Amino acid sequence: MLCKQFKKNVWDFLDGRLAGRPADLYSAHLKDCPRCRDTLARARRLLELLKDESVPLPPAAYRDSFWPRLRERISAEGRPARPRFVLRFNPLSYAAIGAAAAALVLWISLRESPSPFFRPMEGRRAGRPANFAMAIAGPTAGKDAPEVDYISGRSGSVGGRERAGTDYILPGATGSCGGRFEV
Amino acid sequence: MSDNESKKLADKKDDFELVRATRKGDREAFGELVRKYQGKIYSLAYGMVGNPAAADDLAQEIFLKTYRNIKKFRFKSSFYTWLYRIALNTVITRRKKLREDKHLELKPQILDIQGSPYLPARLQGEKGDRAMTRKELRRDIRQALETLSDKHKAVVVMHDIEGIPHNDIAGIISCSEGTVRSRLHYARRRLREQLANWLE
Repeated sequence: MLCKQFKKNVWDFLDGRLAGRPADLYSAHLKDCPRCRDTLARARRLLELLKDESVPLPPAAYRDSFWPRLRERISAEGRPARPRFVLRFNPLSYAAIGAAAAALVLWISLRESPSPFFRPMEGRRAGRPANFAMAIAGPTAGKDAPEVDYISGRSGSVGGRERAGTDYILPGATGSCGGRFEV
Repeated sequence: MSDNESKKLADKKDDFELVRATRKGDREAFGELVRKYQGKIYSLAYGMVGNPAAADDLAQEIFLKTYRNIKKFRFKSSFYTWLYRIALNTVITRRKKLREDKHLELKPQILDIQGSPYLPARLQGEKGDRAMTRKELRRDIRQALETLSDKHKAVVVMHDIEGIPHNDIAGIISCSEGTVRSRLHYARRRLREQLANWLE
């Protein structure tokens, strides 16, 4: 055994944590190495000093007055408080909270922000109707007519005719849509 | 099961009974717990702050906190482990506050050997040079302890001064036994350097 190893394990040796072969090697090394004997003696002395540094105990009269003094303070406060709800670490509860937060964020974003499928033409948003009626100024037919986007490929019906995707509609058209739409 | 283990188990059961009674409003049951542990808690506080008056004040605060929070005790660890955890947190918080308010910093008080009410019985008879040497040694030990961080100091106080086993300390400071041992090794190495003159 090297002196370096000895030094590293000196505390384990003194704490009685070395047993069997390591302890035997340790003892054998000690016999042959005066420097390590000195290291061990110093370490042992340190532990003895610390043990002797035990706390000066207060006198009995003081000890006897400890509880009466504390009882007075407790009486002034009343009964111990009920425990407040504290969320302790539990992977399941954190997962549940995370899922709930994600669902809330998703719901808010769907509700508040326009869908990427929307292409507002006149800044007028129709909201989320099941049925709709529109009166749109401007061209009424052809490429210049306003178009409605049946979002997410949902189908709708305009004037009794089934539609899907983006389509041109006529002003004053009425119909229904499965989801949100925009003109 | 060894005698020591059965005693520990019996103690734990007794403590649980006293905690249950306290939760039902029986203050004297709490008094029993206080009488049982006041010495240990005082010792821990003294070991950490090195000042008898502050240790007494801290011990009172620790038990008051324990009483306030006794309904939070979940009977999963021993009462003693839980109490020590509160004690250590209270002491460390107080030391932090004192460090922030530098002007209020608490200096370890090296007690006069003669006539101190706190003096351990075995030292009462010491006089003259021997007593002086003791006083100097105590001062140097306290100063050396002050150079350690709170977490290193806590394990030295609990293990080397109070004699609490590694596994109990691990429960108190909520870490592994390996961490306790490694903190202890580091702290002892530092102390050995600081107290080199006394180890000749």
